[in-house]
Amino acid sequence: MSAAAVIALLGEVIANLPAAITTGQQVIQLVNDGYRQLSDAVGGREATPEEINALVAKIVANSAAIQAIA
Amino acid sequence: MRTVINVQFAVFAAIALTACALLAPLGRDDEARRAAKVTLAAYETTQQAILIYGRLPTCDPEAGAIRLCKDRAVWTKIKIVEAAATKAIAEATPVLNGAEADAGQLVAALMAIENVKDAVSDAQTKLKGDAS
Repeated sequence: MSAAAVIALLGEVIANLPAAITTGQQVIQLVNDGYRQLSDAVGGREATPEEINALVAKIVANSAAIQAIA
Repeated sequence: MRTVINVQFAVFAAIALTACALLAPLGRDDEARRAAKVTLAAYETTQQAILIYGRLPTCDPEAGAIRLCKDRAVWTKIKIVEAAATKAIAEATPVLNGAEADAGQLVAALMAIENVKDAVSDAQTKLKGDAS
């Protein structure tokens, strides 16, 4: 499966979430953030060291959030 | 909701696999950074799926059926491999940015990400099993 196909599928999942599920606004925001990141990453632009560092910083922050869940 | 999480796990596993393959031909610095960005973005997206899974209630057979829950053992494994992957990624970042020579950091990061993918796959399997 290509990255573009994955993004298309993910977009479809997001678009078709039933209303009852979208009440979990935080969950939807997380998915949307992931979708945006992936779209940006495969968009064809060159990646700068600053972008890599920013992405790693976000990964470190996410990891802290994951580790905080019991 | 179970279907949504299952689909997310599946697509995140697929993109992670694609991204790992992209890191193999590290030619020019800009190419390497772009491939790395895709890999890291895929991993960051996988973390979002992990966060969603982690926020589910823990399964408790004695308390009766919970519609959607996370397996305690799988979650423990995910946390361990996720922490290791993030550490490996942080250690590989100077290499990706050309600030340090590669002394195995890239392979270590890719292997650690692969371990996370396997653990997420376990979670997906459990979710599917619970549904049947």
